[in-house]
Amino acid sequence: MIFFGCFARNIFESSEPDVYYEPWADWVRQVCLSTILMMGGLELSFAGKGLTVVLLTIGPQFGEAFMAAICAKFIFDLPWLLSIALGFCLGAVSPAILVPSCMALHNENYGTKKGIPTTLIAASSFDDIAAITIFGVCMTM
Amino acid sequence: MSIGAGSSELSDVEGSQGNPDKEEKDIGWLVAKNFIEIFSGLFYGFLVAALFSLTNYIPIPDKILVWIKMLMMFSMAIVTPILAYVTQFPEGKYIGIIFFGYGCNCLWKTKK
Repeated sequence: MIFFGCFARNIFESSEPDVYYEPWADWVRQVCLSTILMMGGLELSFAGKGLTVVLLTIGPQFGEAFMAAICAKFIFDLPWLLSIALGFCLGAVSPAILVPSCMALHNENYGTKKGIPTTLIAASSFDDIAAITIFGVCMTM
Repeated sequence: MSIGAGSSELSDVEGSQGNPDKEEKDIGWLVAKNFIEIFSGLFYGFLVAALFSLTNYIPIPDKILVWIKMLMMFSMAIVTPILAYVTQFPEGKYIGIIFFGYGCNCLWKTKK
């Protein structure tokens, strides 16, 4: 789909703006993401794994985001706030990829004894909340 | 006008020549507004989930009820971004929708 999108955007560039109205496309994207996050919410479970979820939320994302921010600062010479915003934009886990995959694993009973798919869904949801919040705060400042 | 996330005011702040006290207050207010949006999203999610949990008391067969619930969930996914745009609370929509799902998961239990 990504490849076809790139292809269509570049090859049919002249006719592309007539095909869809940008605010509507934006709204459709938001509805799709909302549907995926809602599916993730329906699978959320924190019973007995609160600390794991917190560590999975904070550790990888903050590490990746701050490394990306430092690289952006020194490579592109961006302001710190914009660098951190970029880091959290890159560091956020894509729920569109993770939630359906984890739900498939959960349905096939892979890792369900240790609750791995539900833990990952919970961590990715909080990861997105943290990313959205910090991105919003950085862009506001 | 776009339904998307709010626009950046970074460039305005950087190039501003205005009163620094007022600017600091404005940034403080904007950051506080972000947190208000997030917590209102949380509240919205749990409130709507609590309202939707009343569907468990509708005296119709579970097989039909599940389809009704699915339609209600889809309608929420469609309505929430519009509501966030209308109320000017763009940061709260995704948090609201995640906790709406979680609230429904807790309240509906296996009937989902």
